[in-house]
Amino acid sequence: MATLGKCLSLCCRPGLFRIMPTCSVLYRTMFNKYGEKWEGFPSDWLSTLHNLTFDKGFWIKKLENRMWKEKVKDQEFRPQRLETLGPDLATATFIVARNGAVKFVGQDRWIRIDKDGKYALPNRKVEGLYLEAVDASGTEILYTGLSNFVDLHHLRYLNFSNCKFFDDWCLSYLHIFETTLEFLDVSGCPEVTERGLATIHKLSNLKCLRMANLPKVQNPEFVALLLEDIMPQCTILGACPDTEKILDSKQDENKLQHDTRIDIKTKSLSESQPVISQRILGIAHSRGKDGL
Amino acid sequence: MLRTSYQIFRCFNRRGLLWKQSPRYLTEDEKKDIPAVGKYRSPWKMFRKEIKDYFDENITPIEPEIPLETEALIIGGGAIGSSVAFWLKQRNPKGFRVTVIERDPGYTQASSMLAVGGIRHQFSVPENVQLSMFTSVFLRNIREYLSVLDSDPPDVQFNHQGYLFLVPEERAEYLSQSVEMQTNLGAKIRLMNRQMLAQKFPWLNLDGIALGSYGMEGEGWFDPWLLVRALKAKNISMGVQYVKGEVVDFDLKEVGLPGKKDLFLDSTVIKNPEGQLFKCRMSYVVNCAGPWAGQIARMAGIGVRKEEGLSTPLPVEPRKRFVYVVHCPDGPGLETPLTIDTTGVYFRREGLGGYYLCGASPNSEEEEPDTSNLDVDYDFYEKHVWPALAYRVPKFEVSKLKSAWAGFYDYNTFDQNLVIGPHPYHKNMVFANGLSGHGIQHAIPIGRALMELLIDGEYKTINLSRFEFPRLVDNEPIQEVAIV
Repeated sequence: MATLGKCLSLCCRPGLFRIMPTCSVLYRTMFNKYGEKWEGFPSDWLSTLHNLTFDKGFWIKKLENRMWKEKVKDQEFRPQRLETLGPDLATATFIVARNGAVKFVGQDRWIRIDKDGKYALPNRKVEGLYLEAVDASGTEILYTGLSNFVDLHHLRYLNFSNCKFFDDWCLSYLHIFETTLEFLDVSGCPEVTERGLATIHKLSNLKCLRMANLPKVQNPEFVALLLEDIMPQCTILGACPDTEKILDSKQDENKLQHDTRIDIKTKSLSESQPVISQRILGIAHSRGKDGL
Repeated sequence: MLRTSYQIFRCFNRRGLLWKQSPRYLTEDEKKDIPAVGKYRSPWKMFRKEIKDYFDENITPIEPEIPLETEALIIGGGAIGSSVAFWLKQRNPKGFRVTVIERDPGYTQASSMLAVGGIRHQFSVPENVQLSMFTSVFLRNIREYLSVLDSDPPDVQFNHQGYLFLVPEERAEYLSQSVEMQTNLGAKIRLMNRQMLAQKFPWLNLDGIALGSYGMEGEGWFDPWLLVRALKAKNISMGVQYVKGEVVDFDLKEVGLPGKKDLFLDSTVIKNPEGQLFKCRMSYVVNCAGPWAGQIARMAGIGVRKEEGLSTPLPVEPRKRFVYVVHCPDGPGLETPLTIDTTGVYFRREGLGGYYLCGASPNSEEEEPDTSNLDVDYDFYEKHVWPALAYRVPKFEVSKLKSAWAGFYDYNTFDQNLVIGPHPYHKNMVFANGLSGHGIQHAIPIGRALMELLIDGEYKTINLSRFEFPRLVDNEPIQEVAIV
């Protein structure tokens, strides 16, 4: 059976589509080309013979290109996922399956994939389950991956720290959360520049931005000042390198409240809600610590 | 090796096969010995020269720098020329020969360098919107397209601030319809009423403004020099030949039956920096000469000769535009988009130090500045730009003009829109001209469209067949309303 499959896969080259239609179906399903239409030989197919080369660099580069394309394809938006799970769960499944963590409204537990590859998320639509926080730190999320964030009306916390492919374009995409997002963390992203940070002003409800260790930002203090001018309600953390040391140690968490250089506004919040900034900081420190 | 008597005749004949059909439309003293294309070159002489160079330690190329023949000859090495070269060459780097002729490798007068570098999705013609959207996608994935092995990945310093068009009451209806059209095509544009504008941009004076359209994503500005440099580096790594020379003439050959002769663009006559003339035979010649595209077309007889099919000229001419650098220490902040006023005056933030670039197009044909040089007219700033700017943004009353520069628009006098595709008579001459002021943002998808047209025979991604040359012959303009 396996050899028959192999023979068929060898026979089913695109050129045989017209004479063996069943083979075309096999070829497409086996090589995951479902939905792609064969357009016919390109008119310059003879010129491709020039590309036959024994140059090692060429083949290595081709392999890298193929791996990159697979990565992009893996993070594409899949409508079946959205239909089956609904917007909040679809995004949650997407993030958790790629080594992120999520948290829902009303729950205090971070959901993360464990070492066996399993995660505790339902596999069909659940009413009343809304996504509140996404922690994608350390993942390889791309711009195509962000297209999975659809119809999230309760998202308040986003953490993209140490994402090596997260750049200005991804930051400019986050304008879709302008009414709901309250905390954004882009520390340690090597591709973020001050031009990307200048798009943060679209997030009108943002209360805290963390921008530590951004190697491509030339004057982080200056950028933070300009941002504070146009977003008076937002706290900018991490622009001055000294504060990073304070945040990293859990015991000194409370020192932040008494540090005179940082201005944490608590006046505008209602009494029934806990102090948002402290709660936000609480979220920031619970990630990854207890394995949840 | 056997040689026929014909070939022996050829190698002894200095002018080559075409000696009877001498180049036309050149002056008498230019009709000297131009080494004709297809000239037989003795291998013995080439070998002797090679040995001599080796012993003299004189490493010179054996081929003349201007190639004798090439498949695609691109006139102009700016943004559009480099983009066309990139897309043609990346299809088959080793199987397709592309040559780019650029007379000014320092790009001192090229519009690509002197552009403000904005990219917007807010156009009134749907194809223009699609073109800009592809440029955004390309710039987002610039690493995949334009990175060269062993070099840093290219970066065009894209600012994502968006464009803001402000319109008075009478144009509000038209703007909302345009925004609907742009949103249907996938652009992310928001219509803002007076309240939203006042809240978002408190430095704006809203007198006389009814509506504004703000680009939320993918719009902004970038450094066009970095883009052209990245394109050029990638092209050279793939094997595109950048030649310093100037196209002075085309060699037109008469083909066909007696009594029904047609003209055929056989080869291009190129002058090298030392003043010598060379001919280069090509499969396609792509006219990407920017503001001087009309001149190139006239050399091919388009608009000059009386033959049927050559009577309509290419209506592209250079128009000078000024950009002024203004310093305003207390000006609009980090969120400033590229704002375009009702009068046509625009400004944008430059860097983080309180500098702004501003400019405007003259309101009528009579006020068009002289295009013989790139001198800046500061009176235009005093009379047109600064009053409108200070009225619209009161903070600019306390500002100082720091410097200015001028550049050329490749202005299409017919309808200010793109002219693309082959000429109906000279089928091997292809145009990519006439983008009055939005050349840099459409350069990349135009290159791709031409690649699809020339190699696949039809437009595959964005259908630009409306913009081909026959609309100039049939006098059917496609007016682009939102010209800045």
